[in-house]
Amino acid sequence: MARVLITDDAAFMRMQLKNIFTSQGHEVVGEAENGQVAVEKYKELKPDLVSMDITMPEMNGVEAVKQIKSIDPGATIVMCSAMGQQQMVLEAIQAGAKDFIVKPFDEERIKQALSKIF
Amino acid sequence: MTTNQSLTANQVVKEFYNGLIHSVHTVIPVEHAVGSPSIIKSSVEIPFGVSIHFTGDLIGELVFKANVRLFSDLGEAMFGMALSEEMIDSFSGELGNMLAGSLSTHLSSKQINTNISHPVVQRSTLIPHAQRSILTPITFSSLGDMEIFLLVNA
Repeated sequence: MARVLITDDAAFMRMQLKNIFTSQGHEVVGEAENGQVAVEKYKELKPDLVSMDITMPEMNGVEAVKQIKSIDPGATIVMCSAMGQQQMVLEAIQAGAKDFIVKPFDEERIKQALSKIF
Repeated sequence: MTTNQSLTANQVVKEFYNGLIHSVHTVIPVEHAVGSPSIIKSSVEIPFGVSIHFTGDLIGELVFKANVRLFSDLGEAMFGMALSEEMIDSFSGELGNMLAGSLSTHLSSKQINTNISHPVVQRSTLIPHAQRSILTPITFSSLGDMEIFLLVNA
C-alpha cells in the first residue's frame, strides 16, 4: 500500500483519482490544486507517490516535479495530464517523472503504472 | 496569428479543425454527429461553457458551449457516475482540458506546436467577436448539442 498525494486543479479529477487509488488499496494522504501546493504538501507529508497534472494555475506540474526532485531526489512522481505530446512527455520524464498517464484514463491504466513502480 | 515555418495560417486553422473533430472522437465515448463548420461574425453569448486559450503556432481560444445538463450527462457517460451539483463545473472544465489537451497532442504530430491554458468555466458571458471565428456544432445522440468555437485573433 502506498501513501499518495494527488495533484490536479480539477476537484472532479482529484475525486476520480482518489476513488481509483483507494479501490486499489492505497491511502490518499493529501490533495493539491496546483504545483506550488504540491511542493509544500510533499515536504509536509512525504508521500510514497505523487500524481501530477501539468496544466495548472500558480505552478505547472513539470516545474513542481523539478522542485520536488530537488528536495527529494528519490521522490516517485507519475504525471496524469491531457497534454500527451512527445515533447511534454520527454520534458516530464527528464524532470524526474516515472511514468506519464494521458487523460482520459481508466482504472486499469493507473493499476498498470503502479505495478511498474511498487 | 503566428505559424510555424512550413505551414500557412489557413493550413494551421484547417489542422486545428480536423484535430478538434479527432479529439471529440477520442475523448468522448458517446455516439455523435459533427455538423458543418460555419464562420461567425458576431460576439458569442455563452450561458454556460468552458474556454481555453492556445498559444504557440496558433494564438486563439477554444470555447465549448452547451447546457449544464449535457455536461452532466457526458460526465456520467464517461465516468459511470452521476455528478453532484458542485462537481459539474469542475468536470466541465476538465472535459474542456481533455479535449484541448488531446487537440494539442494531435497538432504536435502535424508539427504544429501549441500549449494550452487551464480551463475557465463561463456563465452568462459574452465573448467578443474575433478576427476569425469558426463554429462547429456537435450532436450527441439522445443527450443534446454542443457548440465549439475556435476564435483566432492574433
